[in-house]
Amino acid sequence: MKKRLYIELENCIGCRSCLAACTQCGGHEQRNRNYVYDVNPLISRQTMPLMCLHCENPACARSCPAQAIQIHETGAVLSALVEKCIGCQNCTIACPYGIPKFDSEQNLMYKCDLCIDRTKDGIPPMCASVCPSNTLQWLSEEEIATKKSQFALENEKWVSSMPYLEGGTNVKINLPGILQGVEKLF
Amino acid sequence: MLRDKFFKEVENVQHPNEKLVKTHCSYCGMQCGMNLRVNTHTNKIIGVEPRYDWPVTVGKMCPKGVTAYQQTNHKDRLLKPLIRDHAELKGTKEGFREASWEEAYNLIAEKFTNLQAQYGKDTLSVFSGVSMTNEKCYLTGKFARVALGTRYIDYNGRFCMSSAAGGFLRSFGVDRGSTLPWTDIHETDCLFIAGSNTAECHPTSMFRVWSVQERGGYLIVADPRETPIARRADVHLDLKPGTDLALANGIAHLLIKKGYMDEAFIQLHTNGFQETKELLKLFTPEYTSKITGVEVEKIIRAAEIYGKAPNAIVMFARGIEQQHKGVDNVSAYTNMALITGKIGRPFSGVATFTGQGNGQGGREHGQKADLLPGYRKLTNPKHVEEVCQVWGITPEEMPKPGVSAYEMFELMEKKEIRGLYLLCSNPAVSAPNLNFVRKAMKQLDFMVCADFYLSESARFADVVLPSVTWSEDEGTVTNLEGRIIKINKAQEPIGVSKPDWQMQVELAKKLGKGAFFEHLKTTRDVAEEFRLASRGGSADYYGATWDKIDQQDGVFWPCRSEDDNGTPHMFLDKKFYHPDGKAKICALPYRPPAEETTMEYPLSLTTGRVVYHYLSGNQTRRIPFLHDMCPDPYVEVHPTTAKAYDINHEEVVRLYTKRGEATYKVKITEAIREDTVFVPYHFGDEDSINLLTIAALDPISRMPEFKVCAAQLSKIATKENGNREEETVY
Amino acid sequence: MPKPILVQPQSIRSYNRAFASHFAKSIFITVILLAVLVFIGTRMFTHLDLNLYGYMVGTLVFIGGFFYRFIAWAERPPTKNLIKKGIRLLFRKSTTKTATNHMVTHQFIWNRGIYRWAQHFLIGWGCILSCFVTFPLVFGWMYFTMEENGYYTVVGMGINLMKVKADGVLSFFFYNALNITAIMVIAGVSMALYRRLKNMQARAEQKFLYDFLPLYMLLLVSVTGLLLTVMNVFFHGKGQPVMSLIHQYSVIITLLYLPFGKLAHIPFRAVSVFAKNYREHYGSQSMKNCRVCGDPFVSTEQSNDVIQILNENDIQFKMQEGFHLAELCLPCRRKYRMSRFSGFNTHEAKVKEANQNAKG
Repeated sequence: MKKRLYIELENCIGCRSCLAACTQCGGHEQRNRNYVYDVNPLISRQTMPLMCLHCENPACARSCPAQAIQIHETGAVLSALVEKCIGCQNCTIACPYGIPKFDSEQNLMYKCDLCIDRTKDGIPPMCASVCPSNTLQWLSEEEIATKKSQFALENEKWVSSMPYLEGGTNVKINLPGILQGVEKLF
Repeated sequence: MLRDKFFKEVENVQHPNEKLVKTHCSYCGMQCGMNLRVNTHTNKIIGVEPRYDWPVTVGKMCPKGVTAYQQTNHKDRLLKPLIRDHAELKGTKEGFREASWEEAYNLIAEKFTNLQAQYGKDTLSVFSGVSMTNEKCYLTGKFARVALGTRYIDYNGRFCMSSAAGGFLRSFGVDRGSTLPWTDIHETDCLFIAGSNTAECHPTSMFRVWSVQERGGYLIVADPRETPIARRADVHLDLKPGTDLALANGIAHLLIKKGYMDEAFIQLHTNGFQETKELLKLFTPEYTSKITGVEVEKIIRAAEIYGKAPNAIVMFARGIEQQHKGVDNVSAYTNMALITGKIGRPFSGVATFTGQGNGQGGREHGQKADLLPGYRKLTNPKHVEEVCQVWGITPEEMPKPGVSAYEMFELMEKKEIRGLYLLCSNPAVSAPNLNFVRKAMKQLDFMVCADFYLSESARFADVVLPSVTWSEDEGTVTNLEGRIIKINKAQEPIGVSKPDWQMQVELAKKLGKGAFFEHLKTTRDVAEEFRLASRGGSADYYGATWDKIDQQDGVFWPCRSEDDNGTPHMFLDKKFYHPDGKAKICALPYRPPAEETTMEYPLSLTTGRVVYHYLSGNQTRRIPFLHDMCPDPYVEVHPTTAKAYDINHEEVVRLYTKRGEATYKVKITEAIREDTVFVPYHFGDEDSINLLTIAALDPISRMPEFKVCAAQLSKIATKENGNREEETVY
Repeated sequence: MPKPILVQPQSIRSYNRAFASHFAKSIFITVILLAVLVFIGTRMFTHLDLNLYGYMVGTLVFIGGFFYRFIAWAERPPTKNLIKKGIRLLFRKSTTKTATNHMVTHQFIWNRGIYRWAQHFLIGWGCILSCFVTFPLVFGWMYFTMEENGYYTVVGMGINLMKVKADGVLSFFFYNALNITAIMVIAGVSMALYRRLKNMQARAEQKFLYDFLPLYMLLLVSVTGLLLTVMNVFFHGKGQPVMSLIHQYSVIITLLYLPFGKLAHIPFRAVSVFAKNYREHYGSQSMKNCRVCGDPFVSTEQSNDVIQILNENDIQFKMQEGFHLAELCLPCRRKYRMSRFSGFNTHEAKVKEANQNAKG
């Protein structure tokens, strides 16, 4: 059963457990590959994760002269192949979300590969495994469909692509504000 | 057992040449399940893997949990006993030399014996902690009373959980941190959370909290700061620090006035209602608002929601407990549940978020100045008799009750206590009024510290004994639900380090008390004796065998016999633990904070935690990821206040109270009251905010008032700005 | 008014028309060049070692495969752009240093890990040295003539280069060059295989055709090559003809595979020198200032190039604020996304971003 990373931005508590867990994935060599941002640190404690969304038409791979960024059969856009990456950093400039990181010592780009050693077998990626607030979840298509009907908001707060993203993505995102549509118990 | 909608069958990743050891986190009371990855060639812990099959946390971990395994083979680990030959270097890292266990034990035995010969038995003291297993906590109590024969033993729970304990004992007659399992939380209709920065201190509770709101339930949060959980609350009661008692009374007033009380329940199962009702008449929303600074509408709204909710849970934490009226605060918030009868049934109840890993179990089994195993009282001759039988001593030999943690430092300062055996704690960072506490520690005649890192407190010691991390020994821990769980050993102790219980057994022998300890050769031996010692007490662990814990994902105490499967929900029969079986609704007059703001000190200083660090930071400040994320303390200031003081974001300012001062980088945020500043307390040396905090103690729990004192801040000369590292945390 | 005529000069056009494609042209030129070199090296085909003709055929097929693959690759917009500008910048001062760094000492692999570097060094230099010995022999660019006095004459491109003593140290290395390189390759491949069996990330991503086949092929070539020596020295050449055939075939198959699998990175690695030159040169010319915070973050050229490349792929990241996302520095681009999610303009708040790169 195909599962996807599903992000409910409203839930984030800014603990950065996802980043810590990212460093612990088998092949991530202790380096975290994603981001958590304070929405406005001077005003509130609201935070949001910014993960690689694994675009259906990934700009990073399209802009790579060396064809070093491969797309796995699960849809995961993998980190640069070490033998192919030539260090030009086109991918970092091309990515609409600014995701790929670059190690100038190693002359190598590295990015989220959706913990491919786990997700290829259907095991949740490290970030979604540990996320204490259920901001990051690993869900089947049916579960995502249920979420979608549960949070069907007129104000388009449920999105998976335009206009909040720059194209179709394998990761599904749910914007802040979903609770507006929840009917109170009493 | 108790598996819910969050539970999913997931297989773990199994790497070649690795085994997974099922265990729990070393840090807070959530005791999140985790698997430690152990290399089967080197037999060393090399990583962590989520434990999806643990029903409470289903694989989830906070950043501390994810990196907890890095403590074990950390470069800062103490590998050998250390002896200090030059007392004048006390308080610094310098002056230690490595020694053998034999030499260290002999020195300790000689010094302790001489001190006791000269100044009497009670010149020695034991200061312990509850970030260790029940077995170790139990044995520490026995070590102090049987091996050392001193009355002075107390523990760092006095800075943590003792108010909750005191409040629960008064209201229910029993102190179990949560009346219901955590798997109930997401099923309730209303969460009333007071003084808990849950998202940072107990992050793995959050998916259940959010789930309540997702279902259409309500979240009410009382906190002076708009913490991440308060940000999303349906009602955020942004009260002034130290005014919880008024708020709780104000809400109880409305619950009665608006008819939300359960009169039958009150009649049948409680005492003290009439008296309380009289007292509560004063606490109109307007009066409450005046004291707390919370808008009247919010107070009314919160009371209505809690009152209407079919099921509701009142939860609280150190925010209300670390006050000089902490016990009253606990009882006052508990009153809400008792008045409305929302207790003693699934999805309704009262819970405190236990701070330390074994904050629950550790306080039940005889580390407290006045308690013996199984929550028995030293003042109760029958209880003393029972324990003496297990220990093999006579009641006459049993020392009398001692004094609380902070009061021990006062006795040290008065030279009534001259020797200290410190373990599992770092009071040189975590105690209040640190200038005084550090001075008291420095002037001790002889101090022993057992720790696995050279903590700030260990620097005051004459002998430092290398203990082990949680992953190098086994044993049971009682989590914040009151669920007894099993910690498993993942690797052998590194260097010549030893578990605390083993040191105490060996040291007892050197002190001539071998006969009472020699039979304890393994952790299991200690566990067996401990179960026996708790038997018949209110916190009865007798039936919680290690096998049963494994089989049913933990055992909730009380568990009185082999056939007993434990007690996930308390008071289902509406029987409380007071002699008459009734709970007590307490009439609690309001008292302001011990130190109110003045013209000279116009700001309320409150302290707390950040998600990246645990307690005194002795463990977490050494972990690269956690250090990188929060390398330094800071002071949170509201922009309006900042403007009045003409200070900017990231500017370094001087913060001071009557007791001490420190400099901090400013973090400007609207998520705090204008009259309040906040500093996290995880930092050592001159960065410790506890240099400024007040040692006003609760009359019952002896808990210091960490959460509020009067402070002032001032700009400092520009040239000093930017002296700190460039990295910052927001 | 006469219309401007936009045509190429006649001569170039007709030359291009003579070939069906780039592909055919490249192959034609290369084969002719090779033939000329062989003609010179073998003193007008008089010193060609016909025992090695199999390799020659293999090389010709490899050339076909290589150009096919390389041209397909070079036609991609980002590649085309980089090669075009890379060639233009080839004669920068730093090229020698960068090339040595990227293609000889492999400093960047050292930084990825010493184990990886050692494994790569052994395989890489084992293979390259083997080629340096084998191909001159195959094409007759180098051969040895034996004289009566116990000395060899080394002949390179038809010219007598030097005389070496038949039992001297230098000739030992000449005889055993391929044995030494074979041992290097075997050691390196063993290290690589060990890593592939242990490392979880490697295990997750590896595919047989892409990751294991080249290693097995190199292993086969090296082992059969070594066995040839063993048979000569210890078994008086018994079974040598069969082994020789196996060895030749293994080499030919490896050459055929090379352009299409993992080993293709060998010829393509040169482009990393282009990339470095490209970034350095245009970085010193003009830097692009972030359209939000104003900080320079990449060369203007590269920012424009990426926008162009994305355009050619029908990807437009033009925002209603008027900027293209490739004109924002990375932190601002990420904060801009926060603003799109939350509605609050995070990218405009004058606060440094929290640490995003803490290591585990």
